[in-house]
Amino acid sequence: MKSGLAILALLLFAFPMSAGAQEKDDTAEKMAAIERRLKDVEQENVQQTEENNTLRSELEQLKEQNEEIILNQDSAALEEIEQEAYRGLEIHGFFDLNFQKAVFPKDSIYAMYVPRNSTFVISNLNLYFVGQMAENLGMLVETHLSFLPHGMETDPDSIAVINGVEEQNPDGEYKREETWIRDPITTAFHNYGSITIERAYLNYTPRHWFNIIAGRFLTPYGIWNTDHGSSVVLGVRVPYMQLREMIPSAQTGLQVYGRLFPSDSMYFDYAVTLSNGRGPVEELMDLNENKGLGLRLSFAYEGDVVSIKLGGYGYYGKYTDISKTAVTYLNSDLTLDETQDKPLRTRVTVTEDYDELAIATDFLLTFKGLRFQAEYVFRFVDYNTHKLESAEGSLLKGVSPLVDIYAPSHTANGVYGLLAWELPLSKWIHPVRITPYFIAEYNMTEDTFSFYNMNSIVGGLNVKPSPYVTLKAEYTLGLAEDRNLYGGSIQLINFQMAVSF
Amino acid sequence: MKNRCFSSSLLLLVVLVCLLVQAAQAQTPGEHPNDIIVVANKKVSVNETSLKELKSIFLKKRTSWKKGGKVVPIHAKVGTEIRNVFITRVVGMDHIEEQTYWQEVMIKSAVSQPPSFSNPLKAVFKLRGAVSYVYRADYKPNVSKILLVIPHSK
Repeated sequence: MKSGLAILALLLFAFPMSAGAQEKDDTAEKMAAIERRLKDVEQENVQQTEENNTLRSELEQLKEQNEEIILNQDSAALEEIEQEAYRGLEIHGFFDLNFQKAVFPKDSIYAMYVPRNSTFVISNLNLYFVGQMAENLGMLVETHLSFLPHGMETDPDSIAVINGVEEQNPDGEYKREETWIRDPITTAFHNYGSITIERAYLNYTPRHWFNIIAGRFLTPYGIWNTDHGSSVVLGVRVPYMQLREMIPSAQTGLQVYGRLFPSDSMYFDYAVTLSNGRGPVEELMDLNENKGLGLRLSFAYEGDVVSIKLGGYGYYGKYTDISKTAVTYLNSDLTLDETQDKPLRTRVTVTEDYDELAIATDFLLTFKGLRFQAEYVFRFVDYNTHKLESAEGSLLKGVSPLVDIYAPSHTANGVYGLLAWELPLSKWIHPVRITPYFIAEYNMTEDTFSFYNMNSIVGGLNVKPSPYVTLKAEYTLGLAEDRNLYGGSIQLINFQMAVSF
Repeated sequence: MKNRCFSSSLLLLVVLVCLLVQAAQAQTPGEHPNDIIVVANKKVSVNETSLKELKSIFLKKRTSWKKGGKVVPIHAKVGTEIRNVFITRVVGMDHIEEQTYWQEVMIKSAVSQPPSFSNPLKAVFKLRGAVSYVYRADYKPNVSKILLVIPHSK
């Protein structure tokens, strides 16, 4: 009985509890089901995403293949692209027309070198044949066309006034080359000129830090020598130290060059030259076994506002000139003397031989429209076989031409500075560029002979109305060191129109 | 139950946020059809470049890629809008200044200006080491690699 009561009491007590527990279990089950479903959905999503990615990737690959197929199918167009990118041959160049008026004392020796009367002159007509045959292979031929030798004056007549008495030089006879020729068909007259090969080389360019030039190239020194075109240099007249060839302006041989970039704004250039060096016919052949060696190093910083370039070039070479004599060993009956080891011989005589060392430095600074450039060259000539001075040279050195004198070893140096300012007028006259400039130059061509030492002060205006045309007006005051010999200074007024194409 | 509801809500929120981020990435703000895409041949050794390097390349002062290989700069045709925009923004010159520059470089160094094509993408596809530029609207993926995007500026 007691136990029955206890069970009843337990049932009564437990019934409400059991109903609550049932409700809780249902909710938990529902939530578990939702969670399972959510997990399933998530899994499905992941699978879907993976599938999507795979499909997308396949689609991309197909697109890529398709684009490539389409592009490759157009093989003719692709061939054209290659031909267009590596153009076979282009022709460029520049020429100039000058007008010059020189002012110097009457009867001065200047008249032997500079026309006194005003004159139009075409100084430069250079043609460039440029080829890019392949990605790493290019070529250049630069020719200088000239009317010369037509009009060239040689062997001036000379008179010596000895103690007031005029003595005619029997060897002197004024000659002016005139190259007139007559066309046998039309009978029209023409004059022939000349072609100088300024540059002719193959350029192999596998890396920016390693390239090779083989042929005739401009010596990589200074600024003016490599710029060299009248349409791109600021002034009309080439610096005197360059005219006097203190360093050979061009060489025939090999040049290895390259560029290194420590940063995007900076680079170092180098060039090593190996050539025939200087010689009377170095373009054609070397008259000694010693090759001319040169090394160029330069540094450039190109910022947004300022750019600086500093460089140097050192050159060492040997100059040799020779004469040749054919020697024939004969018997008394004028037949060949066969008893001789070599009855026909060549006798080679070295007529001039010297070692030379030259060092050049250059500096260029540009700041907004301002430009300052300067170059310095030093040269040392050490004779092994001294050159016999000409009669004219002897006279200029104050020695009688009847006495043989020889050119001594000597040093030479020259420096110029150029300051220019491109006027800030682009807002009003763009694209015309107007640049006034000023140049000062000092030259000592030989420390043992002052006749050719020439200093100058230059002022000018450079106007560029289009990318292809440059107009210049320039005034030069030339001050020879030995002004007594020249009878004073020389003034030159030059106008130039230079055209590039 | 409250905890479970909270965690479910949190899960949904995370999913939503992820979706939103993905959507935002798919359409970057500022993307413009006139953005300039600098493209290079797929075999080029680098994957990116800078404006300064591009300037050096297109002025032919730099002739190799940083990681090796010859650079072949390719221009759009002279007179096209994209070429003028590119020259102004990358090289810092206008058309006349560019012509003057190349005239001078030719006379000084006998270096020609880069070749130009009406379809630079095709040239980039064909020429090893080539680099050029197209508007985003004209860009076709997969035939070249993107080295730089120069955003459109009015």
